[in-house]
Amino acid sequence: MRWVGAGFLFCSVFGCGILLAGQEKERTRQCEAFLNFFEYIKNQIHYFLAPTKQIYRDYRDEVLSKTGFLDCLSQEGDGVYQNRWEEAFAACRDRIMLSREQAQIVLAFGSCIGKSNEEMQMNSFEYYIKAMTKETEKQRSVCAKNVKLYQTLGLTVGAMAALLFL
Amino acid sequence: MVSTSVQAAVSGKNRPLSHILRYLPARFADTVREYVRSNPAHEDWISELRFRAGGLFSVTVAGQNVCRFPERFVYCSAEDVAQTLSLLCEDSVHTYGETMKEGYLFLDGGYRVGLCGHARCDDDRLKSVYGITSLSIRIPHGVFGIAGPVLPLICEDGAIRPTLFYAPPGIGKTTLLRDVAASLRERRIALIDTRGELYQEEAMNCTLIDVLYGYPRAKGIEIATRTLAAEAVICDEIGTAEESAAILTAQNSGVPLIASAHAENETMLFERPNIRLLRDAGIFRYYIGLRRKGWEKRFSFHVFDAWQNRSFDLSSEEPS
Repeated sequence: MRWVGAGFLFCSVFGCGILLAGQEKERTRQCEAFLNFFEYIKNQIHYFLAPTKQIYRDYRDEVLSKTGFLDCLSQEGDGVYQNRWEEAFAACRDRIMLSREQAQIVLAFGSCIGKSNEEMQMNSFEYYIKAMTKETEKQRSVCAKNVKLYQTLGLTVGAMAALLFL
Repeated sequence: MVSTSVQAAVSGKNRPLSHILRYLPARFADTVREYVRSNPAHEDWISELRFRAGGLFSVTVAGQNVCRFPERFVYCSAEDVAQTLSLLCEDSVHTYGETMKEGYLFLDGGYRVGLCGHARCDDDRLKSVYGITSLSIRIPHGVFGIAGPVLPLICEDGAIRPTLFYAPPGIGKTTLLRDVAASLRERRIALIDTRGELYQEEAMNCTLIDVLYGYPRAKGIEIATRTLAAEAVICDEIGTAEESAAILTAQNSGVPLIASAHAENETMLFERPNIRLLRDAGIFRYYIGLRRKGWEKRFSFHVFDAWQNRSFDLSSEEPS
């Protein structure tokens, strides 16, 4: 019975490590997904002057779809479309794993979409894309480090806890 | 004979005012709704809604400015103007960048929004407009049957006669052209709808009208005569040198033009050098001046037949 308990304890702690590592990987994927989305929006506006609602409706991305963000963006109220980036982000916040800094960049980017002429939007987009690229690179290196850390910690702490239990 | 679709438009199944109110910030939309509720007869006469940053919100009713609702003024801030513009463009201001430089944007349903703000210029060229300070939303009116008295002149023995309508802004030139186009719907008409005001779906779908959306008038006239083999070309508000040159070039193709121009009266019309050029070249047979008094729905027409060098007056019946 003691062995079963120790095994359960090891699996739980190691599982936590794996879960945390998974979250870190998901955060990186979301950063990359938002960065791709930013680039897509920028190109659609720069080359095609596409209306905002069409940009959102045409965009496909598995990572962002999973959070429900794209669906929220495409919703139309009373037949009049409005860019509800901030509301969509707030509605999906529990499924979006971005850090506070990353979230701020995403929100700031969204607040520029469709509010001014193409040239002014491009200037803002360049700035936020640069900031998001930096954050994504940072996130990638943090992720590589943290994934290993969480897995190792999960394994060693789990093993130690199991030994102590025995 | 008015078609079913035209009758639908006349009977007011499509209310252009209530449709556009959905795109306005609640404060202004409610003000207009309240005004219409207390003055129901005025609804059909509302031709414009105007927003001015740091100024008053006003409604143009039968050419009169209404800015007391009923005893209070509605002030408009720069944020209100920016928000209204965003709502009208459905948060896609960039899509309208090119026409915004020309001072307007047109929306689905035939609404034209005139605007002005801060211009950014490169030498003499207008690069962009930002910080919009004034918006003027023109409400389109589908009034049909008003062209009745002039139609026999325009369409004489099956031949379409080139005609120029003139009047000061706000009298109803575009409404009249729309009615002429709808009346000639069984002919191959090329409608050059540069600002999205002329074409009206309810009256013009299922017809032989070819619509050139957003084309500059000169280019549109050229395309309509060269490639569309139109029986007549209809376009609004001509008057620039480029447009006159395109019309002069197109005259050899034998496609009659029905157009409109801003002018207070015949004398002032012919004082415009580009119009004078067209008159000297004999482009138009009829020059028809429009008159309408305040709350009257009837038009009176002053017709100058340039080919026979005679003038006479006509007046329209009260439209339905």
